[in-house]
Amino acid sequence: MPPERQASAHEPAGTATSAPASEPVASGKYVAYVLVFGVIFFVLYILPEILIFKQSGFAPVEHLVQSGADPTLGAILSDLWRDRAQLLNPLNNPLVRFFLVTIVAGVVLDQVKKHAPRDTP
Amino acid sequence: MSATSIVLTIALWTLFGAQHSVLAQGFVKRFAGQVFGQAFVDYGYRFVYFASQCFVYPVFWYIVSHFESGSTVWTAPAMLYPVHFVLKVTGHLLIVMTFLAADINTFVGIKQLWVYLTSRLRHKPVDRVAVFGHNNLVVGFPFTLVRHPMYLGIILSLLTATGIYTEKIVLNLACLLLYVEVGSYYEEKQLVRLFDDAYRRYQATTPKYLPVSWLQRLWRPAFSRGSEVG
Repeated sequence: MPPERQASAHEPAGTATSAPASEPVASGKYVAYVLVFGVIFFVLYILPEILIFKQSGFAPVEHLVQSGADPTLGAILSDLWRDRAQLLNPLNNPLVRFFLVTIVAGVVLDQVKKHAPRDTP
Repeated sequence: MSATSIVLTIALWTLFGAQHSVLAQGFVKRFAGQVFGQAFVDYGYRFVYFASQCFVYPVFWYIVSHFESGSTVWTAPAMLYPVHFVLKVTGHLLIVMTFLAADINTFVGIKQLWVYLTSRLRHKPVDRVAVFGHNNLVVGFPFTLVRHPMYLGIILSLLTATGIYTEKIVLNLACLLLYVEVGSYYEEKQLVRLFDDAYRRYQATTPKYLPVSWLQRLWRPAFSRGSEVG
């Protein structure tokens, strides 16, 4: 079967006749993955910013430890040892959490790229 | 801020940068290849490196952030809060978009590991994986704005992680800027070696950290409208 016939065999009858042969056609899978990616992006990256904004408005949210005391390196290291289970638990680690959710978003984006419509000669 | 805290902060940033840099060096990878085999370097090293940083970074930041804060250098006034907020969100989104554009799964090494393990299980030859900054030059958005959008995002995130700028924050910001400058210098040297003219052309057309040309394009219509009104 020639390539152009193979391509049209997967398309609905209406679109196969009305669309020009060179025009890429978005598959259902592509649309579904784009929607999933959009939802993931909104839920994981936009919604948290909106929630923080609702809570604090434009005011800066303090994420850094502000300490008036001047602890020695030894005291900091002993605190670190005390907190080691919490600090080194991957799921307590915001960096790991960020990477985990972004890895999921990356997998979905890969699928979007894989199913993206391409120009057919 | 005491002199000891300042010296220790700078020393820790230097150590953190050094281990980052050393682990990315060719001789370390060659040594790992001799010990664990070339397949480990090609398909496993990046993931091990990423996993190690997930433990190194929290320990480093815990120690650095527990030093004395020192006196307050500057407090962001309420009139600047909207600017602060926009910069914070921009920083966060820049980091996310950079990771997605650079293919986070090759960046952290999961894709390489996956390709290797699935090929071995199916007894098939292992495919080569296109890795960002290694055998794959990525210049699409957000790399169209600046050459180092991730660094810009990290700088903006630290800059907007507080509204009260103590000596400790200012020192850490200065260390971060130095770290980014040194890191990007060596990164770009390596990218020129790998991609040659393609990367030189990209360097010539795209600013390093500040999206100056993009901001000019954004503001120019506003200015011209303003002058027409005036």
